[in-house]
Amino acid sequence: VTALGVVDYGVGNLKSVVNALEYIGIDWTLVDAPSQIFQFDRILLPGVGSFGAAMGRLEETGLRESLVSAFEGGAQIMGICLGMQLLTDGSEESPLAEGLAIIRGATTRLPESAKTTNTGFRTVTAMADTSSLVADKLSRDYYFNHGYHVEPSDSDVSIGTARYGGQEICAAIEFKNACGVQFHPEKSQGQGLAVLRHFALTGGLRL
Amino acid sequence: VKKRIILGLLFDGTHFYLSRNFRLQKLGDLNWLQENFQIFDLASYVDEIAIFHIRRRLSFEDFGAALRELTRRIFVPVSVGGGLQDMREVEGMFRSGADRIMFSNSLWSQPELILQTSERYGAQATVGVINFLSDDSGRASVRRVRDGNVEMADVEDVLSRVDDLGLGEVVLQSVDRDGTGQGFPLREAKKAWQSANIPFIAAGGFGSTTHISECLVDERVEAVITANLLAFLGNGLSLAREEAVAQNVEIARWEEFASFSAGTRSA
Repeated sequence: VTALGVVDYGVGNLKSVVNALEYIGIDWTLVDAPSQIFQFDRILLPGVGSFGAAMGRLEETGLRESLVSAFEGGAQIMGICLGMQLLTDGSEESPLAEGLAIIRGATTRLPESAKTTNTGFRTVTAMADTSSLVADKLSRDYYFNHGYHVEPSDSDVSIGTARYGGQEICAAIEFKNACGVQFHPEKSQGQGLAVLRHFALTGGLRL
Repeated sequence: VKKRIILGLLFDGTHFYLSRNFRLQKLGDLNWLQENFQIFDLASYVDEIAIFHIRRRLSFEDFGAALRELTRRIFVPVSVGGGLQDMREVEGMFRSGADRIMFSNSLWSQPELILQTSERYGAQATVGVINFLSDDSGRASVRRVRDGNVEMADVEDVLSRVDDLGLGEVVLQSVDRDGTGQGFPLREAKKAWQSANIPFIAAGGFGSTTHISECLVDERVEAVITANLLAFLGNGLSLAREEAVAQNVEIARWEEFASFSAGTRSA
């Protein structure tokens, strides 16, 4: 198994993610320096907190440039929750902060008709024309905890959706060698651990 | 959003406890709990773990260390409550693996701590716990200590007072039924919360799978907490999930990690 780099940019709680990797026997290393990024073929980008603060830390540490270069060089990157949102062009949460722009699209506030955050377990359903681990059984339940969601420019990028506030929201994306999940696989029992292992073993979400 | 079954754990920083009517029986440490109750297996059947620190003054370092150890093998959200005094301790709990903080006495003694937690981490991460007593007439009331005085208040009145603290959910915990296995007093609790808008979690008295599904069927109940480890030993919580599904309760379906081995292909 190729060792997995877990990006540590000083915000959010990495502990639950690395606990999960430890449990499923994935070799992982925390990455907090730009040059370290290039030592890994597969990179996990977790995230909890605000978009602006996270992008600010990625800028300050020089990790932003390294992550984009690594993606362009073919490294496989997976974002979790805020980490998935960071892959987009930007977020309504922090209009002045530019995203990594690895996957074209915007991160916007959840539907106004709904409560302020989507917290709890919801069913993720596969898009009709994709086959992915998150939906090889058509649908599975995962734990969500977020106030913003990704709206990809190209809807084909979305490979799984969840229903929230009367709308379908993007729950999983994959574009070239980058992918992301809006839910927390590390908080979603066996099926969540399976998502993490699948990325660690294959570099993506699709089967 | 799916309804939840939450496993409650009573903890003093080093040892876990059982409780009956809030009287505590000491069990053992985490290793003991795993050997005798297979706590990590039980955790694989639930949607959340709620850890109640049962000492008034927290051994903050011990609690944080134990929380870090416990969450190494638990892959659902973790709520933590009891004895937190200030934002430094709240932040420490989040850093140690907590996803939500539960506040009980602080509802009366330091509401500003709850407000700060809600502002910084969000209402979804801020939970109130109200311990209530039922009388023969079906009235639910709360015993609380405020400014050194013990007073009784209607749950309904208490709920209206905590409405503006930024809580995402409130746990209604029955003192009378705690640890008895006689079932949660749903009728009294519903009467008390009928005018409140905040989502509720029922706690106290669950002794059978039917007790759990009866509560989850109610549209006002978001989740149930059981800390009755003896009643749900083995696959009891798994059976409770099956029964809830049979009652058309929307509850997450869990799959064992091992069941995915054959389906994952290497690149």
